[in-house]
Amino acid sequence: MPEIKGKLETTFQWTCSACGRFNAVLDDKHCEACGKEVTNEKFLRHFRLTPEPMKVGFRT
Amino acid sequence: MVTSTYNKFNTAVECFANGLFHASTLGDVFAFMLTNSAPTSTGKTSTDITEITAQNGYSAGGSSCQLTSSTLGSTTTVPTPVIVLGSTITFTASSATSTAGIGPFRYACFYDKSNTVGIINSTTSTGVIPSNLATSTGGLPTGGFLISWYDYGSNLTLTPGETFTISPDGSSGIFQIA
Repeated sequence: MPEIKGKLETTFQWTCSACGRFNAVLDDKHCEACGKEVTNEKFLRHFRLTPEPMKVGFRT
Repeated sequence: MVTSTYNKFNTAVECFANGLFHASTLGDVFAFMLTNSAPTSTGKTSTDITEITAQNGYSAGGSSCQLTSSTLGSTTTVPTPVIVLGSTITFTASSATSTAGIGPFRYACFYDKSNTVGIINSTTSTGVIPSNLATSTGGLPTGGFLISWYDYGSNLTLTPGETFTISPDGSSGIFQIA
């Protein structure tokens, strides 16, 4: 079984003030259409924590 | 990549060894609670955690993380790991005002929310509890036994509409017994 490590991610969600594109981008705040970075636009953050499993072992 | 490794509460080992975690879909209810105070490995139950205020989409005790399945390996060959899965849970900030939300918080604590039975004495059919987990009078402590905690790495405060999702790996879940 492959080793599973936890990870942290944030999806940013906003409407670009330059081109009007609605974005939902993982760990980045640049518009997917025009590349403009979020400045004054209102945006939401969706945080995701993927926990590393705790392991209890009885076998060697 | 930023990782979120588990930190073990010492109590979890005692509980596993004594069969206090009833990890099946018909067993205990497990949950995540949020705190902004760093937990310590010597914490025993959820009452040892300084939980964030229950408001704006966060309920006291956190949210339940249902066990979705567990699998046993073949009994005739070397068994594959027993894997217990935890469902994804999401905290969503909601408020009548535009700014009030959830937090700040930094740590998510995983615990057994419904362990109120202890070990069943096969002779008397009553529940007993190991002395080092019991209260000074020998009873079950208040709150659920702690298992592990995760550090987000920085304080988070969710404003209305924002979410914090704890998403166990699809194949490995919250914990594995192998």
